[in-house]
Formats: sequence, C-alpha cells, structure tokens
Amino acid sequence: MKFQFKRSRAAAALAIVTVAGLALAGCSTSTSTTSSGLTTDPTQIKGSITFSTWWAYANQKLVDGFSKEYPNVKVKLDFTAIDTYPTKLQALASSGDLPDVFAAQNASLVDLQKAGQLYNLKDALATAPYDGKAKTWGGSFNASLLKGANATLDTSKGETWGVPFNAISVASIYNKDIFDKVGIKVPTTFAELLSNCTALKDAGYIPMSLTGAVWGTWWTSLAWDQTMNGEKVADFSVSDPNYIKGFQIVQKMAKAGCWTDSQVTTDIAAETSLFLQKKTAQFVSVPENFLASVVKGADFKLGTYVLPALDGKDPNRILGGGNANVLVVNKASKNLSAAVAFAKYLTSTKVETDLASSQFTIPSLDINLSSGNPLMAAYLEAAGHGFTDSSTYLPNFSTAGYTTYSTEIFPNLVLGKITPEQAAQQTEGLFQK
Amino acid sequence: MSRIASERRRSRLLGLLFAAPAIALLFLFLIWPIITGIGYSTTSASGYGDKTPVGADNYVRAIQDPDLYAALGRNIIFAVIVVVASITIGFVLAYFLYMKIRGWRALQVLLMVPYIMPVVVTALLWQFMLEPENGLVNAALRAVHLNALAGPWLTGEGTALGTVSLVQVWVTVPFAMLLIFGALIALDHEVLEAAEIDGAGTFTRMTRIVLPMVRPTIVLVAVVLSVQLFRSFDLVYLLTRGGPINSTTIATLYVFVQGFINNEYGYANAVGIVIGAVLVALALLPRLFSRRAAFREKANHG
Repeated sequence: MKFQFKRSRAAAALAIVTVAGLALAGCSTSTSTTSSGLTTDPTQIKGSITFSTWWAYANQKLVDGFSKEYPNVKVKLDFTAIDTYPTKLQALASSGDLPDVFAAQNASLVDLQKAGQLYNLKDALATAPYDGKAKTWGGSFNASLLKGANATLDTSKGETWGVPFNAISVASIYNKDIFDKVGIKVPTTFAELLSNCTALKDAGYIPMSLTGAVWGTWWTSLAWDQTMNGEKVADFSVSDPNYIKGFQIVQKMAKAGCWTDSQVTTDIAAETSLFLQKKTAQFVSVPENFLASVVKGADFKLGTYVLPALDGKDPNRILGGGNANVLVVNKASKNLSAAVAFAKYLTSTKVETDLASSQFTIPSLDINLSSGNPLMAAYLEAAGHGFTDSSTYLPNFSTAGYTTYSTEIFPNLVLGKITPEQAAQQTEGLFQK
Repeated sequence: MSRIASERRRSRLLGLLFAAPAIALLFLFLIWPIITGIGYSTTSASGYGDKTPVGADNYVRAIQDPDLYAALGRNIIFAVIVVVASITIGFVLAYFLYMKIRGWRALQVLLMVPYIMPVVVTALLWQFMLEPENGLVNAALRAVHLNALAGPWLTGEGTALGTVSLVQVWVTVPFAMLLIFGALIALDHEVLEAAEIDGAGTFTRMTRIVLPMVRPTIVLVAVVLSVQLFRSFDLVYLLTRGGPINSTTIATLYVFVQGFINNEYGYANAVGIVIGAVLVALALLPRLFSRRAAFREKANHG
C-alpha cells in the first residue's frame, strides 16, 4: 500500500510537471513563435536564405546589416538587372528553385500567386515589426501602399501576399538651362504644361520623355486617377466618358507636341541619353537609380517639379508603385522564420530611412521624412499628396491585355492613329475576369 | 556461323557503347526538351509552376490566332528580303573575289567581319547609327541636304521591318558570299576560258555561265538561310524588341512574348511546336528538289 501511495505520488508529481511544462511551452509560443509556427526569437533562427532582387540599392552592405541581429542566419544576395529579372524568376519558379525572399512586380507577381508560390504574410504582419513605433509589422506600412502591393492579387480570403519595399513617386526632372533659354517656367497647371511643350518643340527641343517602351502608360494612369476618382469599379464600362477622358488628356499632350513619334519605343537608357545630351528638356521619372544616374551625368543645372493635376483636381495623387516594388516570401522556403525576419528587416524604419537619405528612395512606411537632396523635394511632395488607388475605379488589365494595351493601343493613340474613343473601345476584353 | 553472329553482336554492342554518350546528350538536349515542350503545350501553364491540362486547346487557338499569322507573314517578308538581297550581293562579291581583283585576300577577310561580329555589338552599333535624332545615318543625310530621306528607321511602324531586314542582310551577306565562293573555286576554269575566247564579256560570263553552274549551291544557301531566318530572334529582339506596335514581331518573337511577357507558357510552347513543324517542312525542301532533279535526269537519259 505504501508502495502504491508512493507510485501515486510520483504519478501526480509527473502530471503536475507535465502540465507546468505545457503551460510554459504555451508561454514561450506567445513570445517566440507565432500562431502560424514562425519563430521570432533571433537566437533561435538559424540557417541560410537567398534574397533575389533587381533593386540596385539593396546591396551586400544592406544585407550584411541583418546579420548583426540575426548572427546565425546567412543571407545570399542574388542581384539580376530588371530587364532579365522576370524571365529568371519564371525559370526558377518552374524548376522549384525560387529564392526564400525576393522582389516581384506586375505580371510575375500575379502568376506567382496564382501558382501558389507565395507565402501568406497575414499572420506575420500581425507580429511586431523589426523596429519603429508601430505595434505590428503591418501597421508600420503606408496603408495605401500595402493595399496597392496586393491590389492585383486574389485576397478573397483575407490574405496578404506581399509588402511594398520603398514607394515610387513620379516627378519631372528638367534642364533649367533649356527652360531659361526658351523663357518658360515650371508649370503649375495642365494648360501650362501643354504650352511649355509647344514652346519647347518650336525651339527645337524634345519637350519631355515618354519612355514608351516601359513607362508610357503612366500618363493614362495619372489621368484616370483624376477623371475617374470616386467611381466604382463594379460600374466600370469602356464607354464611360470619364474613362475616355483619360485618353483625351494623353491625346492633348501628343497634339501639343510633348513627344516625338519615335518616343513610343524609347527605353529608359535611350531617354536618359537624350536628356543628358540636352535634346530632351524634361525627364519624367521615378527617383532611385534613375535620378542618381542623371545627377551623375548631367553637366547642366537640374531642377525637379511636381507634375500638375492633369484634370485640375488638386492635390493630385501620384503613382506609388502599387504592385511594382513588392517583397514576397517563397511558400516553399525551408527557413520561413528567417525569410520573414529578413523581410521585416528590409522594410524596417532603419533600412528605409538610411536608403532614403542616401539612395533617392522613398519609404513605404508611415514615417515622415525631410528631403536630404533638394532634387528629391518634388518627389516627396508628390508622395505627400497621396498615392493613386486605381483598383477602386478601374479593373486590372490581364497580363496579355496589358501587353496589347501598352504595345498597340497606347502607342497608336499617341501617334494619332486612333481616337480616344477608339482606344477606349479597343480595351474591351483586356481586363482580368 | 554462330561465331560470326556473336562477333557481329559484340561489334554492334561495342559501337553502341561508344555512341552512348552522344545518344545520351542527344536525348537530354534535343529529345527531352521536345517532349517537355509538347507536354507544356497541352497545359495552360504560366511558367511559374502551375500546369492545368487543357488538351489541344492551345493548338486550336494557334490555328485561329490572327496575330500568329501576322507574325508568320512578317517572317516571310523578312526572310524574302534577306535571302534575295544576301544571295544577290553575296554572289556579286564572291564573283569579284573569284576574279581575284586587286587586294582580294584582304577584302575576303574584311567582308567576313559583319558575320563574325557578336550580335549584341552589331545591334548596338546599328541602333546608334540609325537613331533618328542623333544617329550617324540621319546626320549624314542632313549634312548633304537629304533631310527627306532621314527617316525613323527602327522607330517607325512603316520602316522598322525593312530596316531590321537590311541590318540582317549586312550580317548574312558574308555567309552567302563564302558558300558561293566555295562553289565558284570548284568550277571548271576551262569552261570560262572558252567563253572568254569566244568573246563573252564579264557580265555575260557571270550571268550566263557561272550563275547556272552554281545554281545548286545558291538553292542550298537560300534554303539554309530561310530556315535560319525563321529561327532568327536575337538581332530583331535587340534592335526593336518586336516594336514599334508589333511591326517587327516575327514568329520567334511572338513565341517569346507569349511565353515570357504574357506568361502564357503553355500557349507559347504550342506555337513553338507549330513553327517547328513549318521549319521541318522548309528543311525538307532541298531533299524534295534533289529528288525531282534526279527523277528528271533519269527521265532525260532514258
């Protein structure tokens, strides 16, 4: 009996220890493991991950900064130029070799999500950020940019597939010497923009860049944000007068001589070259390495200005990048905890602030920054007006549909071969179903 | 007998053993990609890891695709311009080399430069030269007051395909010249000497005697070039990326756009198979010609 009592005591002690252990495990789950099983404690995260990107400023020095807090994680940086990056990503996805953390945009992003290759960051966004004042990682972002990063993706079950890594903003970099010579001032209205184009053209200059091969369709996007703002995407029709008005605005710019016919095919390098050779008076561009290369190569005075509202509605919102600069995590990553931790690091206040002060970038976080370089002032001012949110009034183009729109319809509109009404009609059937 | 049979079997096995690496490479780099491509062509794959079977839908779509026919049409125009111009110019140059004009050895080497220059260098060079605002060609034309001829070249919808074709001619002429020159030096000199004695001039000898004698080589060059040009991608892509407004989107570029821009990987594979079938038919043409020629000769002799 005595023996049985001892055994009962031992069993009870074991039970108590077991329950206490489980309770303690529960406690440790709430501090170092998320509900989806991700580890958040830096000392417990080990291994190696690969980070792929086309962002030239996401260099080895930046990547090495992660190791200071996560010494047990080795990050391999894989940089590929933007021209070939989507093709490389496609090949990697096809063979099951996607990197752990990578940059994605536009069509690649959509198809990666459809193929089930992306990790749902919803739970991770509810955890603490890498640094900063926000309570959660998700709360650290500019809300419209976070929404924009996922706007073209299927988020019907509340998923978040990607986070924005730096915002973009668009402004005009102009040759002050040419402006002075022609006797024009920085435009504050659309009418002044058009009259500047005419004056510059008459003086023998190319008034502004179009970068038709890559960025031409920005103009319709900016125009629609003015003309269609307030409308509902469910009511969209290609016959909507406000939709057609966006094409009319671009046609007015083309008729005012803002661009030459050749510019429907120019790429970034060609436009940069024409601007630096003082053939083009203005280069409408995002900052980042594009502004950096212009600053480095120009032997004339530079200025930047905020683009005026194309339909008179101030303050005019600017393109924020939406799904153009998105950071995603590979669902099949063998080290999800490290991958998510690295994504948090890249989108931390420290990293984005450092980049903004040295690399002509704009943070995608909800932080206020003053410009370190006078040329960035226009970009920050434009960003301060807010970012366009086309998903509220315009359906997304399908991948093939956008190719048709950007390589046929938009150039034909600029060249005057089709009317705005015809351009609108021709977009019928090009949107995602 | 059994000893002979076993010797033969052993010999065959030994041959297979030596051929095995080559067969393996052939399978790995030729047969397997074709099988995989056919597999993808029956799916709606985007190339990002998804693969939903769709049967023959992609082929049905390809047969009804006006953009594909337009791309093939542009390819035919491109091939005709390049083949006719390359062979004509190549023949004339080969003939001058054959006639051993002064400095012909140095000229022979110089004329090969366009062919051996890397295609990226060629594309960059011509892009700079043909740039509408600053390019050398338009600058030279404006300098001699021929402003009307200073065109958009690679950036004009109506001029881009012709311009790309002429750049391709510049690259291809040396190849045609070399092959035709090889046929010329194999000619019987006595025939030409006899013609010269009979009073035939240079032009007459070139067109009435030499040209007919090298016709089989010219036909071969035409067929080889045609197949090459239907496979052509790099130069056109580097010069214009298929623009402006798809005016230089030839067949291979169309496949590229479908597969890597539109992410319609399955459809791109189907189109690639269709184009491949066209190329195989083209490649079989010389055999058809030679069979007909042999049949005709047999009929003539009796």
